[in-house]
Amino acid sequence: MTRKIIDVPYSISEADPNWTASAATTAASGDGVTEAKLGEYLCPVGLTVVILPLSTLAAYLKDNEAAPAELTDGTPVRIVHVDSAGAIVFDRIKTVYAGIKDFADANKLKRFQGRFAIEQREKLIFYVIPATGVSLNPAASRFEITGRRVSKLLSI
Amino acid sequence: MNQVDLNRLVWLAAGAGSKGVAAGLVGGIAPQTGITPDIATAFVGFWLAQQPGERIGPFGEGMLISSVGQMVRQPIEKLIGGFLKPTPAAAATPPANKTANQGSPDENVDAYLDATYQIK
Repeated sequence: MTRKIIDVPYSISEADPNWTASAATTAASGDGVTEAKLGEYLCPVGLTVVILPLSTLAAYLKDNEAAPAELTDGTPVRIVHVDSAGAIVFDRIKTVYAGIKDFADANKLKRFQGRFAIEQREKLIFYVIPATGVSLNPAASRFEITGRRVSKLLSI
Repeated sequence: MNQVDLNRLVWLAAGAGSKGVAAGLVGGIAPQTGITPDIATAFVGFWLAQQPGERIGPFGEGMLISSVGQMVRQPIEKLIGGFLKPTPAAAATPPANKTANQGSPDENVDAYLDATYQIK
């Protein structure tokens, strides 16, 4: 018996069980060049996440200073797609924080440029380059990537 | 019309028939000699045909004729067969997008992604 495909809206966020947030960087450690990893999403076995040109990315990024604050608008942000072997890496989005910081206004949400599938055991890794003298606190940051999840329906 | 020498004809036939026995012996006993059985029996037939006697001569001739006939058979078959054999129909070309891992979009995730989102 063949199993049908199920294709439903889906979003990846910091609350996803397959998301692993990285440790916060040391206060004032940013140099404006070195990337800090916000975390990585590992696509589970049996699931394919589809990102389309309609898919959006929004984030709220916070630093790890004594008086925590939101990162500045010009902070570079990059999302990479890594194959299951960890050998091939593609940049899927490269922008600055100002372009993705609006969660509320649907017209201002950052959209992906192309369409691609994140298949099982593949990763999406979210990198940020904190400005000089600034850090990154993944645990206090938020983000959401919308897409669709495709998997096989449970057999009856 | 020539008179058929029945005695000679019988010994020619015996020689031709014996060619198969001789070729079998050569092929079976000494296959490593590098000589094909037909060539070996042609030599034997040629040698026997030169021997004196009303029987052994035609016997050798029969063996020689049979051996030469056998040797030319395969080239003639190839030549004539090439003319007469119909050209085999070209194998049907599979569609360009067929892959080993196929399935209808309803059952295969890759096929589904291709059909629905054009993600290869």
